[in-house]
Amino acid sequence: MIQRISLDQAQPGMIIAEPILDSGGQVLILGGEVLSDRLIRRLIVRGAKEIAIQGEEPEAPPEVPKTRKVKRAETEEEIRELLDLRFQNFENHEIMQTIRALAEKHLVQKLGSSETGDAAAGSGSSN
Amino acid sequence: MATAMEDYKSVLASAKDLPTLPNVVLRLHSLIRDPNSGAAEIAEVINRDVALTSKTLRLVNSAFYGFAQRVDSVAHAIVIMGMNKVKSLVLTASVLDTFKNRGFESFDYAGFWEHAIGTGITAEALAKHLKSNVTEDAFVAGLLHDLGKLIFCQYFPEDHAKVMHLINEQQLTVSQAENQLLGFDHTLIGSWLAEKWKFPEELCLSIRMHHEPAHARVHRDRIWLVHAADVFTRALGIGNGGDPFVPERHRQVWDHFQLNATLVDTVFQQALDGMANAGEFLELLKN
Repeated sequence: MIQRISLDQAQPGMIIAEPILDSGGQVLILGGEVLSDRLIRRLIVRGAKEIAIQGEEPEAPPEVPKTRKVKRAETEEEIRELLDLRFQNFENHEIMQTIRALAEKHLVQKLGSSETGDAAAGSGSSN
Repeated sequence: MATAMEDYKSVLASAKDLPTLPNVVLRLHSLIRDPNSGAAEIAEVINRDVALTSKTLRLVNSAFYGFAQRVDSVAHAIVIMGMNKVKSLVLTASVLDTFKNRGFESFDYAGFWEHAIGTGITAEALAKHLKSNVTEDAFVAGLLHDLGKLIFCQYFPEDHAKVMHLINEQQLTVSQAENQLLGFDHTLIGSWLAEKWKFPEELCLSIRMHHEPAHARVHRDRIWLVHAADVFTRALGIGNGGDPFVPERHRQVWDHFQLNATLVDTVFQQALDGMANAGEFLELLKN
């Protein structure tokens, strides 16, 4: 059984049932893959809105959406993915891109210098 | 038909459990402005509130300030930090204490306060570099800039849920989503509370105008510092600002402060270093 859900209902562990395309029609994911937090974030960054998943009917979204706790970036790639999302409206904006480049530099440095969790290791989410 | 804004005002006007601040805070605002009041008098006013004094001294002695020796009295703190800085810490301690254990399920409370503290640290760091004369107040202005988000979520949970859906579905910022739904945003709600608390005008305005700095006519330095600090803190992903997007910096602010990559680079480093030592601020929200 295939269910269509919006990306904000997607949970790690769900299995993707059909290919996912970006807004330009390019295939992002073929189908059959298991969703992970990282994959969900990547799909959000690429502008996917809805996905088809295999299996049981997903749980109805709660009346009041629960906060998505901020997730800390654990790799340089995740830092860049979160920055892509944060700065998605400023692709051709010189000053904002300067700010982005500096943020990336500091967050990557920070990742390298400490393994312990701290407040600013990079995060992005919604309340 | 009543507008959403009128509805909101009347709900908050009749709310019995809105957070309140201790009297000492109000007293301090007026004392600091009075040129005849001295350090001894200010210390005495603070000392009357024993619990608040002890919390303020916890912040003074935290890793964030890194004093070599323990500071064990308000009078001592005033000598080494100055009256304005101590006032700012008393206000910080009282706000964090007022909001302790007031978290609720549908809101990332810790993430909210991390973003608030990060914005305070960043605003203060930026103010120091700009040799601003509002440096001591910059922290508090940054700390409180998003106060309205807390009140919004707590008192208007249904609208908050709609805003969250709008953010997810249309990739909007919190402020854009609130404006779309209500015609106003959390900055207005936050400034109502600040006015109720009888905060000085400059603080009310920095809460009210941090998303529309170009409209500021007075107290621009404070408002613009908070605006810039919010952008920087969001860029670094410190805490949870309610949506995953960085708000656009206003060119006027950038030009006015003559911001450049070297300065931003330094402020980013200080913001991250500051956050690494800001544990005691978050602890005050717990006990």
